[in-house]
Amino acid sequence: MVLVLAIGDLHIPHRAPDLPPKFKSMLVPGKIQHIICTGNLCIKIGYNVSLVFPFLQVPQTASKVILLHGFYDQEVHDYFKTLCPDLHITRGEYDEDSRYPENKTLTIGQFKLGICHGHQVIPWGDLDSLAMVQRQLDVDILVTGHTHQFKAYKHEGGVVINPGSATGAYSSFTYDVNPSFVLMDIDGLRVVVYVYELIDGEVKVDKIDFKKTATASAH
Amino acid sequence: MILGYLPPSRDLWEKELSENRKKYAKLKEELLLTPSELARMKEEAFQSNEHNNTHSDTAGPLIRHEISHEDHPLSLGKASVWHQYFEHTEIAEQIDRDLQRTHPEMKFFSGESSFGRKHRESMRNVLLLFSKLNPAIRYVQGMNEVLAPLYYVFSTDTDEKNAVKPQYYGFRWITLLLTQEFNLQSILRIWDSLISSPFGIQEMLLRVCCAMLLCVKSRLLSGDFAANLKLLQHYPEINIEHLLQVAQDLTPDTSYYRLPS
Repeated sequence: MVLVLAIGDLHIPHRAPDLPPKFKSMLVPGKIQHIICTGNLCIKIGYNVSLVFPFLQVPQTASKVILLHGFYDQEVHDYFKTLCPDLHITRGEYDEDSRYPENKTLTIGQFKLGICHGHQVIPWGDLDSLAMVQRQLDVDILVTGHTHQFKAYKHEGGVVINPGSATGAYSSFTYDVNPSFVLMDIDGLRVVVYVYELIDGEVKVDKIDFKKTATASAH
Repeated sequence: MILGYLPPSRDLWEKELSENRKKYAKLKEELLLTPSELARMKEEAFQSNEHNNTHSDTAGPLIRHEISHEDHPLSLGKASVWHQYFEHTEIAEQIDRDLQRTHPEMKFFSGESSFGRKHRESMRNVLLLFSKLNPAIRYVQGMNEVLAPLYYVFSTDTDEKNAVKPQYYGFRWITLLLTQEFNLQSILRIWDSLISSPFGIQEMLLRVCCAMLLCVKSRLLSGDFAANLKLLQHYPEINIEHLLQVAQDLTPDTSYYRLPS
């Protein structure tokens, strides 16, 4: 049982002040084993954002957090580090920090995961184009962002997951964005994807199941 | 018996033991599984068409199923299995730390052998189950020490049931007159005793076999089935005079026999 948090497109503080409090109350340390972030993490904006993040005690829950794309200053990065030390980040188009790679792959249990912000994939959010990226990276699950729209899609190359925007920040497409993020429970050949959405002020949780057949994409 | 665990009548022991063991196995299944495993078992029980869709090869958006506020890993609800699971990981970690320190001088409990690890895992299950069944007490440091002697006694009983049967090692000892178990010099010495023994060859042979067991008694008691079998099938080097003396000294009434230390 490995919990992996996929979360992104925060755009703090430019497009949103903070994560919704109802999300933050749930995201506590000690549960998640890995964090994946697709990008747009560190913008040096000179804000005193310590006011923006009233960080909680760190319970032992999150094991991995996957951050997708979004604006982050160093404190957002640090916040996610407190949730879980294993943090993976790729570059978003607003990332000035060129340390982050364009894409990244990692293996968790029986699954290979790939991370790519998504602004590089044109047309943006196009599933066929993303499927090509997935095949290039040779991963079972591609975690991507940029559209601020939750998506979980299966194609013959694997599964594409977009956790949406955790702050509900507006995207290049629309202002109508519900805050959302994803937590994956990787258990053997099975993944349970928990989708957390904030709709009309209430947290709604959905579940998606999928299995990998043992013969599919060899490691 | 004195602690009231087993009934006074020996005939009922077998039944009582197996019933209790079944109950324990069931408790383990209910309380010690991770929420992941629990969810997976529930789904396999309710395997319906809509779930099978996610296993099919057709491309398309994956189906979302709404779930309750307690059914997800980040749930903070007291009744949520996830919440309870994470509350217990702290206890589990404490238990693990304490178990590492339990009787470090005994191979039964400590060390990295599969033997020691198996026992620590069993004790961990016991303590974890206890903490879940008794939320008012949960786990307190020191419970591991109290458990140790109890567990030791209970598991040794199982060891007797899993004892290495004489056929596994004794057949070769007896039919080949111990020629495969010792070096030539030792064989000659043993045969001298066999042939010249007033008890007769057959009886003396059995006495020597018993003595062989007695001489490795402590190793056998602390070993598991595999280790013991290996030991007896590859009998270690031993002082032959001592072995023969032990064989000589065996009396028919062996229940009071104590190995000279």
